[in-house]
Amino acid sequence: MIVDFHTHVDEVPALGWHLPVDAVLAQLDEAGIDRAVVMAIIDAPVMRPDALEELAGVCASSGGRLYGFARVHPWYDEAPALLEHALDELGFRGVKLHGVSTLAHPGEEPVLRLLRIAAERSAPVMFHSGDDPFTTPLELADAARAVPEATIVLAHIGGYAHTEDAIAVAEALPNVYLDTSAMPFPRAIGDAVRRIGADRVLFASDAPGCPAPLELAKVRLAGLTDEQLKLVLGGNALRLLERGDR
Amino acid sequence: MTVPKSVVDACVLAGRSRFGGGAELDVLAAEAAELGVHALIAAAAMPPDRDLAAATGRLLHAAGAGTLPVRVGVLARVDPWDPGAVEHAERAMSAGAAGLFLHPWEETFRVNDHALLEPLMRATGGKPVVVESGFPWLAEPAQLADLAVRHPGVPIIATRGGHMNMSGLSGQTALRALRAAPNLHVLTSGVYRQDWLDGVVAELGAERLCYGSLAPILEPRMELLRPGALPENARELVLGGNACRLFGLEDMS
Repeated sequence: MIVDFHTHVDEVPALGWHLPVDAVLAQLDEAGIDRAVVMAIIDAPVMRPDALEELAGVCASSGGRLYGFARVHPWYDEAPALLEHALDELGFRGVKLHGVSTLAHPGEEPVLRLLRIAAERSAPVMFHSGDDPFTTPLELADAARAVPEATIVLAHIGGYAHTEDAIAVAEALPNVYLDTSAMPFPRAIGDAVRRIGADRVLFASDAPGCPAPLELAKVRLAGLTDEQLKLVLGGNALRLLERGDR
Repeated sequence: MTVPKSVVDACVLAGRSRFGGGAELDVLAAEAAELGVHALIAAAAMPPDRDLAAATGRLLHAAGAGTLPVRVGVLARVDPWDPGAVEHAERAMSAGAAGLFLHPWEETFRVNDHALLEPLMRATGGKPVVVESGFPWLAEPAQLADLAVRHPGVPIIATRGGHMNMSGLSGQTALRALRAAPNLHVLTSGVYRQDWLDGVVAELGAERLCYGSLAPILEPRMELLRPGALPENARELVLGGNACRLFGLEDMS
C-alpha cells in the first residue's frame, strides 16, 4: 500500500494555480499510489466560507482514497470551532498549517490551541516547513515542544536550505515526522531515515504541482532498504491516519 | 517518447568544494555517460585554496585532453571581487571556455551590482553567463531580470529556474523575469513545481529552458526526470537542443 501524504486540491487564480482533483487522481494512478492526503491552498474561513465542506465532499466521493486535512487560519476567533467541526463532523483526518499564508507564528497561542484540538483527536498536524519566516524547522520546533502530545509533520523536510535543521529537530523531538515532498534532495531522505528511523519519514509529493510519479521516483533514489521503503511509502501513513497511533 | 538527438547537462560543478563535498570531473562525466548524457557544461566548485583561475584551467585541460567519456564544455568561474577577474575571464575565453559562471552566494555579490559586473559582462564577448540563482538578496529572479535587461546581447542562464522558494512565492516573479528579458533562460534543476516549468513552455516556449543537473549538489538521476515530464514536443530542446544553441555545441547525434 502506497500513501502520498501531501497533495492539494484547489483553484487559486491569483497564483495561477489550477489543482483539480482529477489531476491528483490521475497522477496517483500513473504512479501506482493507492491513497493520498489532500488539502486546500486557502485557509478557512478566508476567501471561501465553505472551503472545508467542499474538500470534505471531494474526499467523500473518492471511495476512501483521499484523506482530508483541514487548513484553518489561526488568527480567526472561529478557527477552533471550525477545526472541531472539520475533525468531528466533516471527516477530516488531520490539519495543515502554513506560516506564509497565515502569518501565524507556530509557537504562539493562536496556533497552539489548534494543535491541542488535533492532539485530543489523535489527528496529525502538518506544517509547511521551508526557508521563509514562520516556517523554518527551528520555529516549528517551538510548536512541537509546546504540545508534545500532538503529532507534528514537517512538510518538505525543511525545503531548500533547512533540511539539516528539519532532521535535527526530528532527532530531538519524538513527536515530529518529516514528509519528503518537493525538496530536491534524495540523499536528505536517506539521511533522515538513518538518523531518526524509517518510522517517522512519510512519502509525500505535493501533487499535482509536483508530480507524484517524479516524487515517488525521488524516494526510490534514496537508497532505502525494502523494509524501510515499506514504512516510508505507506506503513507510517496508515498508522497515523487509520489508527491515530504514532 | 522519442529519444533526443543530444542530451546536454548544462551545469555541473566539478572538483572538491571548500564548503564540503564535491565530485571530480571524470566522476561526473562517467555518471553522465551512464545516464545517456552526451555533453556536460562544467564550472569549478570553489576550491579549498580559492584559486578559481587555476581550477578553471584544470577543467579546460581535462576537457581538451579528449579522455572523458562525454564531451565537456567549461565555464570560467570568476569572483567579481577579484582584481584580476576580467583578465582571468578573457584568458579563459581565449582558451576555449564556453562562457562565464557566477556564484553570487558563495562569492557574495548582488547579481545586479552593475558597476561591479559591467567589465566582466563585456569580457564574455557575447558568450553565455550561467548564474547560480534563487538565493535571497543576491540572485533573486527580479535581480536576474535586471542584469539580463541591461545586457541584451548576452545569454543569461539562471540555475534552479531562477528561483528557490517552496512556499511558491517566487514563481510568479521568475515568470515575469523571463517575460521581461528574452535573453534570460533557466535550468530545470531543483525547480519547485513541474507546473511552473509547464507554464514557461506554454507561454514563452521551450526555448527558454535547459536541462542542467547542478550535480553533485543535486542528483542527476532525479533532475533528468523533470525535462522528461515536459510535453513531448518540448523535450528535445530542453534536454539538449537549447544548450547546443546557447553554448555553440555541434549536434551530437
